[in-house]
Amino acid sequence: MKRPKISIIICSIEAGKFARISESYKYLLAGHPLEIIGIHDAKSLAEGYNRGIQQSTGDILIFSHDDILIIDPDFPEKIISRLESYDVLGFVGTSRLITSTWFGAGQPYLHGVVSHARPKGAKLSINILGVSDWPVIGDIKAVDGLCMIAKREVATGIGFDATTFDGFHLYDLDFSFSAYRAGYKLAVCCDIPIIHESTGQFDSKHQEFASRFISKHGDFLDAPTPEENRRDRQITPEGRATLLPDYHALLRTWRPEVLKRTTAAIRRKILTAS
Amino acid sequence: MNSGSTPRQHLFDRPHRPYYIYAPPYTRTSAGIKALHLLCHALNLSGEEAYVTTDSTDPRLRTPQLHDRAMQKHQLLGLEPLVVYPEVVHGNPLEGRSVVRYVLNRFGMLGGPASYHPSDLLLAYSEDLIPAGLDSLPLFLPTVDVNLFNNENNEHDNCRSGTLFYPGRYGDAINQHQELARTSTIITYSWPTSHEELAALLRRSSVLYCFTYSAIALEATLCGCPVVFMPSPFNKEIFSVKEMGTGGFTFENTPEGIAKARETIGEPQESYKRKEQTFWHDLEKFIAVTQSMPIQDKPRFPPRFGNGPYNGANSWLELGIAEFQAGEMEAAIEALSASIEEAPDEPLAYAYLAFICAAQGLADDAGSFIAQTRSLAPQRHDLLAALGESFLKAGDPVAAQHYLEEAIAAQPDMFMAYPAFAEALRQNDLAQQAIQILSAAAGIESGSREAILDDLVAMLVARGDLSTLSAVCLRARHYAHYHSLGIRLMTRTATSSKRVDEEVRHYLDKHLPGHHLASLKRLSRSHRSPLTIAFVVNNFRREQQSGRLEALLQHLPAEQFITVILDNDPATEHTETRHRCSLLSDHWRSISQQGDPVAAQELSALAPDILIDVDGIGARHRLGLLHLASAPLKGAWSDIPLSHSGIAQIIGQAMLTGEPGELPSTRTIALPDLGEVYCLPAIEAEARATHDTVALGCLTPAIQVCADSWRLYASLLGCLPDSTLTINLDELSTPAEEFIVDIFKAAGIDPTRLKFIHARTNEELCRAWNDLNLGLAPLYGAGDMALPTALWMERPFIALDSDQPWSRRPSALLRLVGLQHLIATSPDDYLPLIHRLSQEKIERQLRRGLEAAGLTEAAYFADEFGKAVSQAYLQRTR
Repeated sequence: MKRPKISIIICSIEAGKFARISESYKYLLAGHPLEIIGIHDAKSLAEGYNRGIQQSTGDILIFSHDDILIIDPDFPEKIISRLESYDVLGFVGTSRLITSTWFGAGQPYLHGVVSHARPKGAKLSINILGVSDWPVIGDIKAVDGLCMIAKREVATGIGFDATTFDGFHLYDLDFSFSAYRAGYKLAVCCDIPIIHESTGQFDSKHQEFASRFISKHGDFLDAPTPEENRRDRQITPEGRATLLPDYHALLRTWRPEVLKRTTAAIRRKILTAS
Repeated sequence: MNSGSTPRQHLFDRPHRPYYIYAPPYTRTSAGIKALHLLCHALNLSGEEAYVTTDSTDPRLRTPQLHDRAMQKHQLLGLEPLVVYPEVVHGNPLEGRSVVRYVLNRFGMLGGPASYHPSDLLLAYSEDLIPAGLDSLPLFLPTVDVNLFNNENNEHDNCRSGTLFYPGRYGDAINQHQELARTSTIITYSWPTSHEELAALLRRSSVLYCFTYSAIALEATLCGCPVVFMPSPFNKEIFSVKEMGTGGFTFENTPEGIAKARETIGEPQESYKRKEQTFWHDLEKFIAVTQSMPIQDKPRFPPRFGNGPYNGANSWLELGIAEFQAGEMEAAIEALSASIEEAPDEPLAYAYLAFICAAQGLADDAGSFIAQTRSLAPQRHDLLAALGESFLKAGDPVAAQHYLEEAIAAQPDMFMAYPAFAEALRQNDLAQQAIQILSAAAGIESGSREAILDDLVAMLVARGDLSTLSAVCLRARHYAHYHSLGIRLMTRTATSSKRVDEEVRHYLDKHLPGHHLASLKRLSRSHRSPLTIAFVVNNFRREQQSGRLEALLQHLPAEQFITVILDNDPATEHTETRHRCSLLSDHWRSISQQGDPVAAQELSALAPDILIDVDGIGARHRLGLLHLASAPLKGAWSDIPLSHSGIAQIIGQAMLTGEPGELPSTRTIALPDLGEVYCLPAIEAEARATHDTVALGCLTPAIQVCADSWRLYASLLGCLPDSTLTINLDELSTPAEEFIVDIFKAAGIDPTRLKFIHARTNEELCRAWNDLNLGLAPLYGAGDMALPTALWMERPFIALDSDQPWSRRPSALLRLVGLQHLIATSPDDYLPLIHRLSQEKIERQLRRGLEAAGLTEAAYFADEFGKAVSQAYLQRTR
């Protein structure tokens, strides 16, 4: 059976980072038809990704940050088989969207796991949002943009809204939620360890794009409950995190029994508190 | 910007005196540091010449770094600089002759001196900071950027939501106010990462709970966010009240208090605008006053003590001692020399000069000074001892021993000198003598007894001398921790069960008074599900090796058990297991710094149904907490029975003998087989060499192996001329190696036949076993992870059969994997067994045996454990 071609689209303005992530994907996807498209002068992430879509020829499109590392030798097989059941895959996301952040609804609607590494940091963190099922969680409405994997027809059909999101925020939420609204099926992969060398903090421009997101999608968001209205909207994802000494420890922790039991603890605490 | 009122000078006027501002590297998160940099910036904007002493500045500010060329130029022009220090700086490091102290916080609050030289000009950031009676010049410097921190055009102002939580320096705030912290957004020094983000947060939040008074409080009110000052050691007083008022602030965390703060939220915004305008006027005044400041003589010494304290000292001697203690040796020498000039008969000045000489390696000079001291104060043997300690700290144990010995000989009851003397002896390779000295001193009641005991125990632990250590600990049985350590050590030596049992009873009677009543008491609690089970964990490194705790946290069904970790491990470097357990457990409490009553009180909020100390009786156990805490079922995972204590013994069935002396089943929670589970590494076992040389290994950590075992092994080596023995020192080092080597030497064994390793993890143990072909379990005790790792690596070991529950594990392990023929009934059996084994090929796959026994099945283990404790809980509450 013919293997699908995979296009990796990366907006990057740092040559070193681009070289590193390209090499990483080449290694990860060795033996698979592959093209890596670098966009080095993007006006916004949405604009850059749109250009990448136009240039791409792959059956599967991966929109990737340049500061991530995926550690799973079975990555290509996993995404290819999962895209038979789903249309868009992410690594962390939500099954309930009530505001302009993917994690705004809080628990128990957050799903996935991500590791963070700080530049020059001695340790890795593991941030567990929720792993109620393994290895994939469906019924997702939006995913974080550190790495989004989509079928070609979804990417070309939905595209990125470079007019509204002409900066570096909320392009991911808009893309994934638009796909959801268009009837595509989204999922979060829990069994693929991924390290993000950034913590994705907000800056002052986030608010501006949040307003634009609400204007565009507000009518289609989930209605917040009175409890959610009373509670301040989350400004960081609600989950559990700890620091681990190294990569080996990360892999020893990234196991279903650890992640599922941690999820039970997170959700029990939320339940008890409420 | 400059107010424009500063008169311009003529082109050829003499330039103004420059300002040298002693500023730490710029950081946006410290208002004090910002104030220093902004002062420099404002002075330069006002036409003055100002520098900061750091190269780390905000590029947006005009804050040049002070460099040599500028200083040379000022010297050439005869411009005496005006040196500005923040109040935290001790002394006058730039040796300024006109000194300004910018008081940005309470004197001494952040570690600075409590008072200053009378000629220093005090510049007050807030008048609240200056004690009554002291003159100062006001200079409130508006450090907050109101372009960001304001409440103008704020669409969120009428619909603010969410609360903020700022612990600041009060690290315990989150623990103390968990609910508030959980429902609030927590602000730290590193998050939000920018002022813009912080301002955005403050503009939309309804209240800031503040535990440390700092600039964030003012920033919040300027953004229209009321501030509740919560009880904290860092909130005891707030300042800038005279400048800014208290609008927007409240100390009452009540709806009324917050409402009142909200009503007055506009006041600071108005005050701040006013202060921004008056700043430039105050700065002009500051410039005028400072430019005409007198130039002091360059002081070699503080000028006159009569006029007030200098750095808190009231005499040359006091100053000299203070400088010595601060490590300022040059200044100390000058002050002490001045003291001798003033009062030549004062012995302390000579003594401190001797200490300084010792610290600098000048032994002869130290000798001269201490001789002078002794001639003035022949009874002050303590000064002699102190000189010895100085030499010890300076790395000269020979001189240290000399002076300490002399001091103790002159005054044998000077017990405080014994630990240093013993340490000097130890460093001079006289460890045995050091132990004798400390042992003798430890037997005498004195104020230094506990310190002496601590040193003695540390020295014995380092040697791995279990018998002596056990005896010392038991002599110190009035200290609970030594008593329990002594009991644990007894189980690793040839002590009878009866003797251990007596000591346990003694321990319980003395340290857990009323424990026997607890065994009768039933806590009526209606059956509930899930059960809350709390584990007291004393050593995460050990848990990482055993895999037991992680197995339970992962596999105890969440619907049946709520798990709590009571972290009693004081280690600062956290293991991987500790981190993973923090993810897995439902609740986590740190108790290593808490006494038993406080920990029990805090634990009551979680109302545990089952409370278990996973280490049973031992050096760091918390049986006192178990005794005080309220829980229907309490257990100690222990091979030492805790008879009649009300604390059930959790133990593997294989460790029970079924003898009549054992505890009745109602007081034990018996787990299947060994009651253990192992998480062992996927390291391939290499084929066992069957060559002539017998490579023996005792990889149980040396601290768990008694001298009797070493003697037995020495006799085995004596009978097996080509054999070698590998010994695992684990965390011990040279002193233990020397102790063990001495035993083998005494038996006529060449020490080159011994190999010492440090295997601390299961991986290291497994790799070490690959180089050996036969293991030896210690005669007494459980043998630790060395034994299962031996079997995992297909290495058989020989163990002595035992009736004592704490010594049954090695033979129980052998039985489980079908190697019962390797169980010796007496030490005499070891040699024939070795002969047999060195020829025999072990067909049985030992790794598979461990797996078949379920010892590597975490889920099975947790399931069995869950069933056993649930049943015990039901029995206890029924």
